[in-house]
Amino acid sequence: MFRSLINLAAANKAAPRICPFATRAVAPLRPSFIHSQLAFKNTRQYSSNHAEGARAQSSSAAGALNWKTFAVFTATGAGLLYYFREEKRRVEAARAEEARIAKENTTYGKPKIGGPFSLIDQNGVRTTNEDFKGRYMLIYFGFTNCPDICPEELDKMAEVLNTLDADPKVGNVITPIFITCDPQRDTVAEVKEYVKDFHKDLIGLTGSMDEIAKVAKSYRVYFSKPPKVADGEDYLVDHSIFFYLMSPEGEFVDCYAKDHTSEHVAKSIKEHIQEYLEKGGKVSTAPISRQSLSQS
Amino acid sequence: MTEETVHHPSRADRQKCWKVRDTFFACLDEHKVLDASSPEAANVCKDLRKLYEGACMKSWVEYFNKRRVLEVEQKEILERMRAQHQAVEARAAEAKAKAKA
Repeated sequence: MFRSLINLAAANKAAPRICPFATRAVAPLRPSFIHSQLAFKNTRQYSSNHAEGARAQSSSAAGALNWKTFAVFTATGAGLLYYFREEKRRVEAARAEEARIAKENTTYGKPKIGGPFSLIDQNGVRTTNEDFKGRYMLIYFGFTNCPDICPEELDKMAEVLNTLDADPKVGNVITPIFITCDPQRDTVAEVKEYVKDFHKDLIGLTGSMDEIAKVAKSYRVYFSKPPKVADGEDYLVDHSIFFYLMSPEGEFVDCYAKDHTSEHVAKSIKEHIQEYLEKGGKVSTAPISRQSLSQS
Repeated sequence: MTEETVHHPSRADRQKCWKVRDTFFACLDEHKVLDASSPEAANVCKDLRKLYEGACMKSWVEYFNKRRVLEVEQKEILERMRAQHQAVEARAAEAKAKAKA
C-alpha cells in the first residue's frame, strides 16, 4: 500500500516519462490485492494526472505535497478503505456460510443406522419400532450369558437413565432397550429375568434368528456364535458393544462406546435432547405402557 | 419342561464368579503364572481354581483365562510402541538440535 502511494507521489512529481515505470510498479500489485472498483478508480485518476502532472511541473515544481498529490492520496486512501471494507464483508459472509454448512452437516450428515424392527418383548408381546416412537430409545445389543462386559454396560446404562430421569431439564424421555444377539438361548423368559436385574424400564427384545440378524444388520452390529457348539455346551457370542441413541422419530442420534463413562454419556444425551427441544421437538415423558401394548 | 426355567447366571451368580476369579488370578500372580491353562498353573492355587471353575460357566472360565493373557500381551505391545515412539521423538529432537548448532 505504501509502495503504491509513494509511486503515485513520485509519478506526480517527476516528468511524464517516468510514468510508465510507475504504472508498472502499481500494476503488478493489482491482481493480488487491488481489484474491481479500486483498480479502475486508481488508473483513471492516475491517467488524468498525467496531463496535469506536466503542467504542475512547469507552474509549481515546489514539492510532491501540493493539492493534487493530496487529492490522489485521499482518493487512493478512500479506495483502499472501501476495498478493505468490502473484502472484510466478503470474508465474513464466506465464514458465516461455512459455519452454516458445517452446522447443517451435523444434522443431516448422519450415518444411516437403525431401522424398522419387529421383535418379541419380555412379556411375549410382538413389539415394533413404532411402539417406541415419541420417546428416545437407548439401545444395547448383548446376550444374557455375557460374562462381564454386557452387565457392566447395562449397569452403566441404568446409571445414565437415573441421572437423566432426576434432571428437571430432561426427565423420563428415554426408553432403554436390550436386544439379544443370542436368540437361540435367550428365550422370552430368559430375557424377562435378565432385564429385571438392571432397570425397571428396561425392555428386553428377542426374536427369531432372522429377525435378530435383520435388526443387528440395520444397527451395524456384528455378532457371531462360535461355529461348532456341541449340544448342551455353553458358548459366548462375540458382538460389538455400543449404545445407540435414537430420536423420538426413530433416527440415529449418537452412539457410545465402552470407554465412555456414564457421566460422559449422560451429559452428551442431555445436550442432544436439549438441542432437539430447542428446535421445537416434542418428546413424551410417559413411559411406554406395557399394558396398552399387550392390548393392541 | 412344564415351567420355564432360566439358565443364565443371575446378578448374584455373576458377582460371585467375578470375585472368585479375582482371588484365583491374584494367586496366579503370586506364583508368577500368567496363563491359567498352562502346565505350570496346574500345580498352584488348586483350591481356588476349584472354586473359580465351580462358580463360573465353562465358557466364561475359558474367556477370562484367555483375556488375562491377552491383556498382558496388549500391555507389552503398547509399552513397546510407546518406547519406540519416544526413541523416534528423541532422535528427531537430537537432529533438530544438531541442525541448529
